[in-house]
Amino acid sequence: MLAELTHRCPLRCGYCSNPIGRHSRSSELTTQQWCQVFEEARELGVLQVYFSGGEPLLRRDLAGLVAHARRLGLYTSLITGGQGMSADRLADLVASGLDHVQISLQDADAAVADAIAGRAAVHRRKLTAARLVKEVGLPLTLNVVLHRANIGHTRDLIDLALRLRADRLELANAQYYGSALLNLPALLPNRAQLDAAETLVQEARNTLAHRLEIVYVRSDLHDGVPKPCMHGWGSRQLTVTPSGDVLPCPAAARIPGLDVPNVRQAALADIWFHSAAFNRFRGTAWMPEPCRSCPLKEDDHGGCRCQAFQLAGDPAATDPACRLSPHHALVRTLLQDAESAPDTLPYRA
Amino acid sequence: MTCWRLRPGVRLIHDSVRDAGVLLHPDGVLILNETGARVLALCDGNTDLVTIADALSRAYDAVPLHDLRDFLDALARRRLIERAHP
Repeated sequence: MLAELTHRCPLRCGYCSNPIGRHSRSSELTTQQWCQVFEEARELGVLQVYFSGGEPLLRRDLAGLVAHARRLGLYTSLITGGQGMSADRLADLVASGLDHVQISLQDADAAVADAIAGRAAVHRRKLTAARLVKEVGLPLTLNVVLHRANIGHTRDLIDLALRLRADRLELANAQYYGSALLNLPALLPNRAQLDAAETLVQEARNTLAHRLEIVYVRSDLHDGVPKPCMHGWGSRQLTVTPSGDVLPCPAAARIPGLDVPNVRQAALADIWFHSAAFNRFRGTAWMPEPCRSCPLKEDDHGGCRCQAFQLAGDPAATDPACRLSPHHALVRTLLQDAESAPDTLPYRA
Repeated sequence: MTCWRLRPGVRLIHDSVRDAGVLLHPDGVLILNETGARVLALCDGNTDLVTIADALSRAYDAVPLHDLRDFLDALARRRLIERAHP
């Protein structure tokens, strides 16, 4: 379960996939409401909570929420940009039973990283936060969203992860939702950039396997193979937004006609099993051709519903990332444009 | 003698919803069968492979040592357990 505690964030990354009209502070769930959500989630069978955002450290009640989730037996991960992480704050979280921390990095170079995040000294604070996490002995994951402005620094990012003694490094090609979609022409890498990065990742995985786990999230647009989005709609994961909306994936709010359920109105188990939203693309019965007769339909689940809507205008279409999609020409055009696009830094709209 | 322990950040719990042992880790969950859960409960950094095999053999039919070794090696490759040096 992804618990988006707030959409407030001190950073302004141009690749942010959160909704552009973000929830305000006054609409956020209270401490008590979140605790109730975690209780219902555990009864439903949820085992993991990712405390995310926005920036979850902006919630003053974070340590209390972690403690409550942990008492229920949930595995607790903090997904943070690292701003506002002090030794005292981290000590509170450790005492609350926090299991794991993931810190995002924008780049290996401080000046580029700060330009991408849209704020000064962001990178330096992230490095400090990463060192604090290692000092208290928690497992540390570093997450980097890859795009045109940083994918050429893949080697430096791996070196930085080694210097910070990270346990895992996630190198994830940008997913084009929210601001990222608006900035797509400035973000999408070209084929040569992508190939170079993938070669480096493969080499590093072979030589560093015992020191650093490298998770690489491929670019479905370049591959012509759709991603198995969320392992299937309403299959393994759910997202609760700051205001209590419950979504089958973090980007699903933009899908038109999705009657989004909310924890203030319904129990989580009822939402998971019976809501129209969670059943809309569950399984394979909703699929059009070419998915319906495709031998891979149980593997890729037809790709991403949000990407199908954003690129093809129809959330029930085959993901245009798939080379078999009747809309795949749209993706080919985006990729052709990326071959000749200038290198400019993406800023949040 | 080889002893194993869970890596930092990995926890073994009993999930009452599924009535099964579950290994929780930074990247997800591994739902265990009864034997797997019993083995991992003995990955405490002090119990060697032969002792684990003996304990299993008392509860179930004889468990071949090489099966046990394969199981633990696979978990080590997934960075869920590590060798301990008691």
